[in-house]
Amino acid sequence: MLKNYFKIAWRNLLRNKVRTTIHILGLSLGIAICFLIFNIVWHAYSFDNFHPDGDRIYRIVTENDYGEMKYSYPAAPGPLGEVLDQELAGIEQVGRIYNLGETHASIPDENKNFGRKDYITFADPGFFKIFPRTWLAGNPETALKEPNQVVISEKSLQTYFPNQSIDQIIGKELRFVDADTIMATVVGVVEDYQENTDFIFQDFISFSTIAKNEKEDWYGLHSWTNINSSSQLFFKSSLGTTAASLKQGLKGIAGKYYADEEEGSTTFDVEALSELHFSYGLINEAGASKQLIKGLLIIGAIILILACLNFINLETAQAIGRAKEVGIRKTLGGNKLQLMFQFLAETYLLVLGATLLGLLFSDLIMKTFQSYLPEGFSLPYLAAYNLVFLFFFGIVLTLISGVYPALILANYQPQRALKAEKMGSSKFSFGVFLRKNLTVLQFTVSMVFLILVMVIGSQLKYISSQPVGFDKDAVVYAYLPFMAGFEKASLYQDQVSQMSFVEGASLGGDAISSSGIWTSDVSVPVDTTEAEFFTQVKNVDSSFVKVNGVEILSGRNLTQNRTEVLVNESFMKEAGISSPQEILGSSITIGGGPKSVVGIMKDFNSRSLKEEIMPMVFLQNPDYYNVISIKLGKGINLESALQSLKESFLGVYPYEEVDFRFLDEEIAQFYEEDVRIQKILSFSSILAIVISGMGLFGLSSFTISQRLKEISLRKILGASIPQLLALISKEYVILTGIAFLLASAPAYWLAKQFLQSYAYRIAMPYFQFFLGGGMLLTLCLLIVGVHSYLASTSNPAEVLKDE
Amino acid sequence: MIQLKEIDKYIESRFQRIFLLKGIHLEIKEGEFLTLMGPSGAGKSTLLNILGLLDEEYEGDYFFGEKNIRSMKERERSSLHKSEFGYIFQAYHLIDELTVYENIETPLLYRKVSSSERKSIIAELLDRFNMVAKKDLFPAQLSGGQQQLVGIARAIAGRPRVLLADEPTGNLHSAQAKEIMEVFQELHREGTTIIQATHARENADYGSRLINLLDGKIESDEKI
Repeated sequence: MLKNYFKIAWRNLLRNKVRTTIHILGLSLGIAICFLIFNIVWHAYSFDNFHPDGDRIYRIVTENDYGEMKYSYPAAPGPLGEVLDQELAGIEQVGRIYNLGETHASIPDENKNFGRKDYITFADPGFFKIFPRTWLAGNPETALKEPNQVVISEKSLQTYFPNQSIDQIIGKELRFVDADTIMATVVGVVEDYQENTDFIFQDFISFSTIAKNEKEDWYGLHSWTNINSSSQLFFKSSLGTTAASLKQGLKGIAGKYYADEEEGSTTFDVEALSELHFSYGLINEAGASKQLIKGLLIIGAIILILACLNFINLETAQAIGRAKEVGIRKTLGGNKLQLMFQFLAETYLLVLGATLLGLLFSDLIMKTFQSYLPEGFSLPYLAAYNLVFLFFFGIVLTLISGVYPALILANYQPQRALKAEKMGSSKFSFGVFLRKNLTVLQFTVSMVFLILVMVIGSQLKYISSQPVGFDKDAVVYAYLPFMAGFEKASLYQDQVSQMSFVEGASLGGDAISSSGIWTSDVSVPVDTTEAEFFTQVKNVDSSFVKVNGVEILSGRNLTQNRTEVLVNESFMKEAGISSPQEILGSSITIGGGPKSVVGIMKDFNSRSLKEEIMPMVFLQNPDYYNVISIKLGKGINLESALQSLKESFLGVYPYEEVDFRFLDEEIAQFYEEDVRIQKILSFSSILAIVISGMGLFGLSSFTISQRLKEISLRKILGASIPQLLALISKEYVILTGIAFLLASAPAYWLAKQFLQSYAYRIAMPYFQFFLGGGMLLTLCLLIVGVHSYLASTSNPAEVLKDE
Repeated sequence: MIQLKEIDKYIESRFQRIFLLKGIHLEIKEGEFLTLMGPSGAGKSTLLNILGLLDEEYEGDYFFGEKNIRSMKERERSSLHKSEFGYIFQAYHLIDELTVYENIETPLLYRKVSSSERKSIIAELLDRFNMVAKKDLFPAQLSGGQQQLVGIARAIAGRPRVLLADEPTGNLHSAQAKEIMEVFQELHREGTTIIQATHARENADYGSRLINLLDGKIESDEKI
C-alpha cells in the first residue's frame, strides 16, 4: 500500500513538472533557512555545557547604578574573591582569574620569543576545581598553589616547546611581559577542550603571583573600588542553593563593603554558566546576541510560513484537477483517511526532495554569509542532532503544508467529483477566499521586507555622503605598543614625517574617529559664574588638526605649549557662549588643571552619526599618546608606503606587531551592524519575493487556465487582447493594492524604529514605500501578464471545441 | 437481496422541490441481471448511485439483505461498500497515473488483500480478458473497449456480489459494446448480480429483467 502511495505520488510529480518545481524550490528555500538557523541556534547553545555540575557554576557580575546610568560587567573587585567563600552561604568552591591580553611570551633560557599572545590568564587552584581538566603532566593538587607557576595547555606546549616530550618541560621557565614582567615555572600541562567553549585560555599563571601586596599598583586587586573586567570571579554553589539566595547574600556583602559610597551604588549579581556565551566573554569580547538569534528565528519563521502558504495555496487551487481520481478511489473503496494519507505521502516526497535541495542551498547561504557567522561555525549535515532535526522537521512541514489540501481533496463526494461538478460554486467559497488572502499575505510580507531594505539603504547612503568634518580618506592610523613611552613614539613620528609620501604625522591618545570615547567634566568661566558640564576629550599633539584636516573657525592651532586647548562649536553652545571672542584666551578647568583656550574648531563627527556631536576639547598629554595618525600624499603607491611604514615601525619597536588601518574603515565599522542587517534583510526580501513570485506564477497559471473558456467567449464576442489583459490583471492589481495597504503600517513602524537610532537621519522616505509597492506590482503584472497573454492569444475555436 | 422502499430523492430549488426519484419500490434478487432504461434525466444514474451507496442523501429505506442501510454505522457501510459492490462507468474512470496492472490492483489494496493473493487474482483477470501483454501500459495507451475491459476487471477484482454499471457501453462502438455485454452475460452466468443503466435497448436483451424509468418513477418492470 505504502509503496503504491509513493509510486503514484512519484508519477504525479513527474507529470506536473511546473507544480513540482515550484513546490520543491519554494520549500527548499524555507528548509535551507530553517536548517541554517537551527544550526546557528544550536551552536550558540552548545557552549560550555559539558562542565560537571554546570548548573551550579556562576560568575559574579558587578553593577554600578548612578541613577540615570546603570552599568553592569562580569568583573569582580579583587577583595571579593578573598572573602566570598567565608561571607556567602552556599558556596562550594571559588575560582579567580585575571586575564592578560596581548602579552609577550618568551623562553629566556633559549632566547626564544613568541610575540604578543592572547589567551593568557592568572588563575588560582580553585579555578581548576570548578572547571576540571585532563592533566597530561603535573600534579593538579599542588599546581598553581605557589606564586610564579604556570600551567600550559597542549596548544601552548606545541608553540613553546615543539618536539619535546612532556616530561622534559616541567620545570622550564617562561617569561610573560605585559606592562609588568612575570617569570613562571611550568608545573603542568592540560589538554585543550575539544567541545565548544569560551574558556579559551592556553596559559594559566598562578593567581598568587599578582595577589601580593607589591603588585597592587599593577593589578589593583586589593581595592574594593577598582573594578576591572580582567578580574573575574567564578564559584560553584553547594547542592540545593538557589540563585535567589545567592543574590540575597551578595546584596548583604555589597551593603557591608560599599556602605560609605558617595556617588551611585555598587551591587553584585550572579550569572549562570549557561548565560556566559551570551554575555561578555572571558577576555571581554562581546558574546553572542540573543537579540540576533531572536531576529533570525523570526525571519526563519516568516520565510517558512511563506513557503508553506505557497504550497497550501497552489495545492488547494489545483485540488479540483484531482477530483476525478478522488472520486474513483472512493468508489473503489478507499476511505478518507487512506486518501489523506496518500496525498500526505505525495507532500512528504516533495518535502524530501526539497530537503535535499535545501541542504545544498543552506551550504551556499552559509558561504555567502560566512563573515556574519560565529567563528568555528560549520554545518555538520550528518551529526545526529541534524538528522533528528531534519527528520522531524520534514514530518512537521509535511503536516503543516499538506493537511489542509489533503483534507479538501479527501472530502470530495465521489459521485459529484466524478461528474467534475464545481464544488460549492454557488455558495461562498472558503477555498477561494483563503487563496486570495494567502496571496495578499505573501505580498504584504515581501513588501514590508522590500520597503525596509530600501529605507535602510537610503539612510546608509545618506550617512556615507554626509561630510564628517575632517579628512577621512587619506589618513591611516596605528596603535603604538602600550606604555612604551613618549620618546619612542616621538622618534617614530619623526621618522615617518620624513618619508616622501607622508604629508604629516601626529600622535594622540586615539584616532580622530573611534568607537572608544573619553569624557570628562569641565568648568568654563561664563560672565561671572562657571558653567560645568561633560565634554568629550581627545588627547592630541600640535599637528593633529592639520593631519586630520579639522577646520579652525577662529583663533589658532595648538603649539607645543601643553596648557593650550582647542574646543569645538558645540562646546561653546553648551557653555552658553555666543561669540568666540568671549572664550578665546579664557582659562577652563579640565583634567585636573587650568588650560587656556586658543582656538575654536568647526564641529565634526568623531563618532557614529547615530549620536549627536558632543562638546569636544583637544588637549595635550604626551604620556598617553597611543596612536599615530599619518596623512598620506596623493597618488602614491599604497602598498609600498605601508611596507615602509611597517619597516620603520619595527626598527623603533622590535618584537612588536603593527596594523595600519584607514580612517574610513574605522568609520564604516560604526555602521557594520546596520549594513549586516541590511544584507540579511535584502536576502530575506529576495527570498520572500522569489517564493511569492513562484506562488503567483503557479496560481495564476492555474486560475487563468480555468478561465480559458470565458476568455475565448469574450474574444469571440469581440474583446481585444489589451482588454482581455486588463480584465485578467485587474484582480491582481487589487490584491497587490490590498497588500500594499496592509504592508505600509508595519513597514512605517519598523522604518521609524530604525531611523530613530540615528541622530542624523533622512526624513521618512514615503516615496520609497510607493516605489517598493510599484516594483512588486510590476513584478506581479509581469508574471500574470505572461499567462494572460498566452491565454488571450489562444485560438478560441480550439478551446471551445471540447464543449 | 436488495430492497428499496419509498425512495425519494430531490433537490431544493428556490421555490420548489425537484424530484429526481419519487416513490421507488424495488426488490432485486441475488443473481439477477437488471437493466435500467429511460431517457436522459429519468433518474437512472441517481438510482444506481443510491444502490451503490455512493449517495446517501435520500429519503426512504434501503435494505441490503436483512439490514437497513440507514441504521448501519459508517464503518459497516464502508465495509459493505467495499466487499459487495463493483462499479463500472461510462467514461471508464481509470486512474491515469496508474498502469493497467495497478488500476486493477487498487481495490484489492483498499481491501487489504495480501500481496501474493493480489498477484494471483490480477494474473487470472488479465488472462481472462486477454490483456497480459498490456499490463504495464497506461490507460491513455489503450482503446476505449480495452479501457472498459480494464474497468470491468477492476470492478470484479474484489469479487463483489453486485456489479453496478452506468452506461458501460456509452462511449464504445457497437463491436466493442457487444464484447463488453458478453462479458457481463458470462459474469451473470457465474452468479454475479448485475445492475446496468443504459440507453441502448439491445443491451437489455443480455439481462434477465428490464425496468423503465420516467421522470423519477418506475414505468414498467418486466422479465426478459
